[in-house]
Amino acid sequence: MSPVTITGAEFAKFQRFIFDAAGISMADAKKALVSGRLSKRLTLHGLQTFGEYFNLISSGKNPAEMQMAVDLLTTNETYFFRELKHFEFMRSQILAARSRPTPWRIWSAASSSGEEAYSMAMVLMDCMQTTPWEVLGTDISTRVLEGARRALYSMERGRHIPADYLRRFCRKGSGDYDGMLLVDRSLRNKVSFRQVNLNTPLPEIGKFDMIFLRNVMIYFNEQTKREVVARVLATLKPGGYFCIGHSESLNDITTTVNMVAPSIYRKPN
Amino acid sequence: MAERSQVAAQEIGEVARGSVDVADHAGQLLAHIVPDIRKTSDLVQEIAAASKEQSAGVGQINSAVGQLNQITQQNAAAAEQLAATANDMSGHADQLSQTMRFFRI
Repeated sequence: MSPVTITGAEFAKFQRFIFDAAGISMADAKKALVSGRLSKRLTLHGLQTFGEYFNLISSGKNPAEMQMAVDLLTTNETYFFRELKHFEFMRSQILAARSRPTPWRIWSAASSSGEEAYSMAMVLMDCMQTTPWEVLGTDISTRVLEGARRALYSMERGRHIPADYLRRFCRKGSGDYDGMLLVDRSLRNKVSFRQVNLNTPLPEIGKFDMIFLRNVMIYFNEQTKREVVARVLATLKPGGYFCIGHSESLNDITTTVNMVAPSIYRKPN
Repeated sequence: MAERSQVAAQEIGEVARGSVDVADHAGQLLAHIVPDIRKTSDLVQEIAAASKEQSAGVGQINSAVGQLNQITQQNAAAAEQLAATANDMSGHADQLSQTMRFFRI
């Protein structure tokens, strides 16, 4: 079986497709990535060229395959307690709000397979007293959201969970589930997931005390970054906090929030 | 009348002489100031040129930091994509090892 190569013209079509669908900008150097991630779909559908596959997903007759292409072309790298500094900051904020009457809400805006949202829930479960709280996780990829709802992960992904949290909030798999961990039901009940495309007007999801939008903007061009950040920040309460990835910056993107620490911003009251 | 006129004319003459002296002195002073003014003008021009150079320098630094920012983010994206690929590969390797277990060597 010889691998099918993707031509420049075919690649340009997929570049356009993933930009329109998810706002993701792919440089010409990502040719190998596109062909690597989609070639299995060609084999599955018995197609000879990437052009044929493009016609299949863009015809509008096969929305499931189109979503599959979006799922495959988005990158879902994440793990529990990634970029720990944000969780430590979150903890200090929770301690300050732990017994207020109004609910405390946090949004994992690109939750991927849910590790970030459950990490938030662990900190909340640990630190909140009487304040009601909730976690929302959203992502564009339906495939990863299914995984998020299942809440079943390999131990490898949970390497950074503090030992105390691991004992209190996770169940260790055995038999077929050897080497896996399941997030406890008490946490799962407090975390909801739904599909949201940050590149289109947002559905009604309410206002948040804190929002994480980490390692998402790295896939967008400047214009898309500005639009997405504006949309996301509209749901942040005045005085609320906004965390982005440590390799990202809001320089030239927005001036509506003030930096309080590297990658942590606050919306003025 | 004629006498008073003569006195007045004398006074006028003296005042005029005094004015000429003053004007002469003012002329000397002005002549003295001119080189200083020219020097100040030169200095102001130099400051303007230096400011322009600084502005260009700051502009270059800004654009360099902007490029660095962009490259950092591109690297981060590439690293994540690579991590995802590595994850896939690890899955394939597991599958392959399962498949190979069937054979006895």
